Amino acid sequence: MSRSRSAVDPKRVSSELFSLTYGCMVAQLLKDFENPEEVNKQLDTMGYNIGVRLIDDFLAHTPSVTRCTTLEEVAEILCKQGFKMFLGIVPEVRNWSASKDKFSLVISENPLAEYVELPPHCQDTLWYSNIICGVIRGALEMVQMDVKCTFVGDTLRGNDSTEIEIKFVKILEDSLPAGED
Amino acid sequence: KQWYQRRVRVFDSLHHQMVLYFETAHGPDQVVQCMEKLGYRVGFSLIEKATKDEARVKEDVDIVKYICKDLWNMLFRKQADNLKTNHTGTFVIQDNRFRFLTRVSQSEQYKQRGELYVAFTCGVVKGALANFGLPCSVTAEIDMSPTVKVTLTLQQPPI
Repeated sequence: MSRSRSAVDPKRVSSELFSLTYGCMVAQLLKDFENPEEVNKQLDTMGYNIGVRLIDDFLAHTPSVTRCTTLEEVAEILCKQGFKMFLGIVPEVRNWSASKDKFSLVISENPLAEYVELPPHCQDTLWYSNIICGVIRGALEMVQMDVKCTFVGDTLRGNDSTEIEIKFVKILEDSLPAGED
Repeated sequence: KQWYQRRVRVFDSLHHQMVLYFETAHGPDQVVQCMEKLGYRVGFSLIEKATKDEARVKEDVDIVKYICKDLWNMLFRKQADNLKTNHTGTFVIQDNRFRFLTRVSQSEQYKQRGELYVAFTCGVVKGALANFGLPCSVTAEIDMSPTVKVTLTLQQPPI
């Protein structure tokens, strides 16, 4: 007797596994920390640790990417290549500041947040996908760019859109190890 | 195949960060338990979703085979390499290149840490089996990394 099996799309499965695991992790963090703000910080830290290594993987697999000279280039590569490669989505770049030192990424379908409902006590404080901010911050730091990366809206919170604001802070000089001239 | 490698990289990184988090926040001796519990919830939900449109497999052996083939495929995009049974309720699933270990150093001194990287998967298997209505104890052995043997012991001996 042949088993009737719903078409197993590997991308779907991979995405589900990731979002389920991430969701369980966030739930655990909410149990461990009383304050959802602390959870935000922890997610950012975890993301940072991931980002500082993920950038190598990214650069190794996108030989066409050259050193960016403008924030606009960074935004383009981040969305069209970085997000696409690792999360399978392409956020929209919007809301450039007049001085071009700040922009937003708008995510229309967040794979991390599928089937997720925020518990009421953290509806206004938790940034569920904050790990993404950490990843961006960590990755860009490794290419000598210091940025501030924060969520400014999340549909999980009832906001109109899921939006990350990225603000350029400064170029990081290569720092010499202690003991060298 | 390319896209998968990149997604795997992200998942493995998350998995690794989870191990580190539990180690710091709960202590090194709690990591296995924490990762297993988390894995359990994931495994339970995965099977819930994956089998809701399917006719449920019924025989114990079929369930274990599902774990070796389908669940392993969901986790690692490959099937387990070997399945053995003593026909009295114990099954041993073998994976010769257990992915979460392939990026952990293979040297002897890291054998203890190896357990930390197998715990989540054991939890997933346990949760999956629970959803199938087949509670088992699940343990893992790493004799020679990255080969892992996962032993399932049925909690109710087969009739």
